[in-house]
Amino acid sequence: MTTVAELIQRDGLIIVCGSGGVGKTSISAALGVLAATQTNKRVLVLTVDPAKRLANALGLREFGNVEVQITSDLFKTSKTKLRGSLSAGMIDTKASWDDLISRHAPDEATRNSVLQNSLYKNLTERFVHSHDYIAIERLYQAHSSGAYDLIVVDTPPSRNALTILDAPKRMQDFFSSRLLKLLTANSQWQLLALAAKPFYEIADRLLGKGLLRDVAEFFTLFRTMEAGFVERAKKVEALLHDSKTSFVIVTTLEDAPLSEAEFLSAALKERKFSTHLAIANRVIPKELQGGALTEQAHVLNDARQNTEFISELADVLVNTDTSSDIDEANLSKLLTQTLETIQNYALATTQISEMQSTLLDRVAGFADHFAVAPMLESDIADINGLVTLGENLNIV
Amino acid sequence: MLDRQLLFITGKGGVGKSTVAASLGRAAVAQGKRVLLCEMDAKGALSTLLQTSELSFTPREISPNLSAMTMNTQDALREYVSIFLKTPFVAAIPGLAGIFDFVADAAPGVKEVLVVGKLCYEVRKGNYDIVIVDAESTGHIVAQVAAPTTLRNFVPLGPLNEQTKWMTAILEDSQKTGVVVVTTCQEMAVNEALELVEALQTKTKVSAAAIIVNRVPSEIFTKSQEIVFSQLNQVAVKSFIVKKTGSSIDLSLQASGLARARRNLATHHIATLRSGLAKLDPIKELLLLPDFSYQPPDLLVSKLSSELEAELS
Repeated sequence: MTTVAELIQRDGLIIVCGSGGVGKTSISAALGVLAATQTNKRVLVLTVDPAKRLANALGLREFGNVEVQITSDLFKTSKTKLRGSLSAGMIDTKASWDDLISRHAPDEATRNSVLQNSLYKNLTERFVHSHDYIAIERLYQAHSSGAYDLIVVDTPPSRNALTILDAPKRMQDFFSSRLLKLLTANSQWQLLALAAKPFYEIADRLLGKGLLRDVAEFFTLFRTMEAGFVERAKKVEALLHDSKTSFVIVTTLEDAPLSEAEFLSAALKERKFSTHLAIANRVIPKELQGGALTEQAHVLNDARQNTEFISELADVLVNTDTSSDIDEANLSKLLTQTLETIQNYALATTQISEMQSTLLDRVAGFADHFAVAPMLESDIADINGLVTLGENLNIV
Repeated sequence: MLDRQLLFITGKGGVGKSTVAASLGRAAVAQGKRVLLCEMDAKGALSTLLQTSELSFTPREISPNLSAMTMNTQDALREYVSIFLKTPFVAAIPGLAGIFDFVADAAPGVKEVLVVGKLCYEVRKGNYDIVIVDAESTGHIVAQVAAPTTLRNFVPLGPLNEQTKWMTAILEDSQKTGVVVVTTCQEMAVNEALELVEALQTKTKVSAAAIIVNRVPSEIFTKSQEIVFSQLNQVAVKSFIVKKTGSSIDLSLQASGLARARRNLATHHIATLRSGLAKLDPIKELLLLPDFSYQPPDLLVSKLSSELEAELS
């Protein structure tokens, strides 16, 4: 069984991470499609911000927190059919936060005050790496609903891939922080800690009177939800460490994404997460690796300099030309040039693939197993593209 | 583009912002300018690209006329307080910076104002002809450049409010400040670039100075070569070649075909970008930079900067 087949056979969660622009979303979707076509599992693909065509490929039309089940209609033109079921959903950070607040607010009045507070929007956008936290929170929600056997989540692009792993912990730390306590103590008009007094004076001078009080008041409200938030964050954190959760690192074979992947891999190991698979994406296709292509380049090199061959080939081209677009007068010269270009790109491809093969060793060290996805001729625009990508990943 | 005094280089994650920022810095030095490069997140990408040791908040001259620094909110706060509030002693209060960080995180615009304030301050001091910022990715830049205005609406009074006025004067002057949007020829990067240009126009008064498309694959075949290439892919032609040379050239056709397809895809996305930009007014400067992937970092910056010098001259 291939490593990818093994991965999708398990029930549980697959968290796909890696640097921006390496094709995380396509890979996640392809893994989901592969699982739903190769097994009879109920599969969910969760994504943050899919490309429009990819979203369409998954049957996602509008942005929102609703999970959409993909009908077998989408597989009409595909040789592969659904065995299990496949759903897809996007993660809407703002809506997810509103859900969270509604769930944890002790009463309606608190809920409304928080949701309508002018600081709230800012909080959801910036605090405690909220995008990362929300992605995991949504994952937890989908998992605990029991509606899916396997969930694949595509992590949000973050400045530092680690923030997603630390998000639940940060959420807990946030509530227990001394700063939050100090700040909210003030708004309850309790005795000011003497040490904090100069700070408030400066803050008022700096920010303008009242701003600090507004902030404090907001956090006082927010703290009423502490118990619910902390408990939830603990569960979310436990889920990340669960043996059913596998991490997949995606990278292309370029300097910057590789360094990011390396960093991420080390961090996952250090935190004892299970890093099941590393995927090198956009690798020169297998048949173009190795000596056969180089040999052909040499054949081309001889052929294009052989004037007799060129003029014979030119005749063949004229005879097979149906469109009559061909420039007959300069055909020999044009043919020589075109063959040279083809030769050059054959050699360039060999060079890139040699460079890639040295980098592949690095990727192999990132996780327990590794797989390769080929460079494609076009963007993935439909389910067939995802099926093909999945099948490619599934080759030993 | 380089005639401005403050340039924010932004774009989707992974498009090569830092590389472009470093290359623009080098190109500006080549034009005889004194340049300050500032890295916004302490990822260290800029120092690697410039092949220098770790950067700090205090600018350091790393080669003639090229200085570099890294942004840090707490240092920016300390400097702000000592320069504008003339109360240097506050910085000494233990934990102040931490508490401030916490509050600043919640209040819209405060953190951004400190950061943008520092950049504007460097512009105002005039120690450099141009400040080039390796800015945060697309999602944050609008909030950043609009911060002084945001803050003014949120906190109608107070010294910080007063301070935002001169910052706005620098930021909203299109002769002085511009945002450079970097993208690659990928669907998502192009979409984000267009969304950003639109957001800059609708939500801020800061001008988009240029769009830079990074890693554009070169043209494979000329128009007349294209016809020959498709002819060569015909079965009859292929079997003639096998007969004559004793070898198939299928793999070579496939390899150049793949490069051709990648180029066509890139051209398609660039066309989307152009038509998207055409709908936004006024039309922005659009620069295409060649694909130098698989180059070592030092060569990457020198190649890109000479490319930029040529484009901008």
